[in-house]
Amino acid sequence: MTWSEVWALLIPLIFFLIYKQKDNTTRPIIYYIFIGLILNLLATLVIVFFFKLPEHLRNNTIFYNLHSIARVSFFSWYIITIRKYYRPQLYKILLAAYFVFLAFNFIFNDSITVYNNDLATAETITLLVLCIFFFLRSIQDDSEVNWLKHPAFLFCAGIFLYESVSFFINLFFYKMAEKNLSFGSLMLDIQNLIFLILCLMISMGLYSNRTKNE
Amino acid sequence: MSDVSTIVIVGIAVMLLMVVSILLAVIYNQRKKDQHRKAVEQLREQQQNQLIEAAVRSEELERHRIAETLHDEVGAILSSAKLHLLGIKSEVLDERDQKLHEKGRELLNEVIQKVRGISHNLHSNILKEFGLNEAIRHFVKKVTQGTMLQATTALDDNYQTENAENDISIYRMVQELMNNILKYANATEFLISSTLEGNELNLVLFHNGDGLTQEQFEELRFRKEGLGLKNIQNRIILLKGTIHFTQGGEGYRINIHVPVKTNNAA
Repeated sequence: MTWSEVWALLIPLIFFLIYKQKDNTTRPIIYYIFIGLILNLLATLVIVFFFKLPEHLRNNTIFYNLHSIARVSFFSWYIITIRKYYRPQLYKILLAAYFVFLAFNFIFNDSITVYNNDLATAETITLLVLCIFFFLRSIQDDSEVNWLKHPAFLFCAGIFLYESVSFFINLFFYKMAEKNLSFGSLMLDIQNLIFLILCLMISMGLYSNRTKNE
Repeated sequence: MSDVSTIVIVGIAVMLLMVVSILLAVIYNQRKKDQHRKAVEQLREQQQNQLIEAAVRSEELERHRIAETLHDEVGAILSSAKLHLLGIKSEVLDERDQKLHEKGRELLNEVIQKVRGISHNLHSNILKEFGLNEAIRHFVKKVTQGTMLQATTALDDNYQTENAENDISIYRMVQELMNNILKYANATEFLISSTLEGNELNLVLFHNGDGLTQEQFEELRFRKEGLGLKNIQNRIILLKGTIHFTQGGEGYRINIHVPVKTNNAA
């Protein structure tokens, strides 16, 4: 599934190109698709041309780390944008904590070119909490909005599923790889599969947010 | 299988369980909210219909009261005035006064006829005694008499009155639409037809003048001067029917569909 990280993101990109969006609320998701696609493409190209590249360029971890930061930034931006009427202070505090951790981690612990369990775990915790906030708010919401038909529900359900499955994989990835390489590889495939589901749900969200005369 | 692998598998299973639970909670909650919203909407619609029904019924009562007052009181006074006028010996009057006496008698006769006409229009006696079809035929004949409008009626005699109140509403709509056609359409041909299909009475009013399209009807009925059209819409809501205004190649058509219960119905 080497290329799956790339072509999976092409699905929502195609949906975006085909279906004109009825408003700008999905803009953060669109940015994420473009940036995620470029980062995953670069990461995959490093693997594909590994032996042809000079030694100092044989590391694609920086792209995965940047992708992780992009995922948190753009999805949280999106959630804050659509829930702006509901006092987003808690979201902002959580995000601030995430970015403080990020700065602290890269300055005092590891370089951005090194795979970091803590970074992935911080991403998962941040996005899981944001999604749970979103779902709780949508349960409390008394407005006329039908959240099941809202694109945010599909985006959040997708990211919620992805982060839930990724949480334990990211947390124990090194230990898994050390003890049982084939099991570690299987888990990475499962993570890729869940990433594909996330991309499909993003595509469905973009489809539901299309202008209706399309 | 190592401990780490077990932890990962169990962890993923627990997380998936949490995801499914939260998503199900959101879906269940949204469905509950939708059901509640629909129930509130239904209640609001029911209340609106009750208000419309009360308004239409009170309008009908008021029409009856005015019709009875005109017929029994104003009509009686005018008849008495006519008797008094007829009691004057015109032969003793000079030529000028005789002319005035004659003119007064003519005007009084005209007023009596007008008052009787208005009273009959407001009252639905014919409707009650002879049914909807006869009332429509009578009304169309009366209002088109002496006009350029060539009117044709083709009403389905299979229709039997089941609910007199509903018939009054249908009759009032026809009256209002017919009056509008006479006032604004400049039509030379008019056709009103009805067909009873199962539980539905379909009425078609067609004329070759200037009429309304559905968009114009929707726009006009919200204007202050569109009171008649608003009344038509209210009666349609009350009857749980539909009304459609369309423009064809040869003229304008108004289709009214009203659900009715009949003995002949399947």
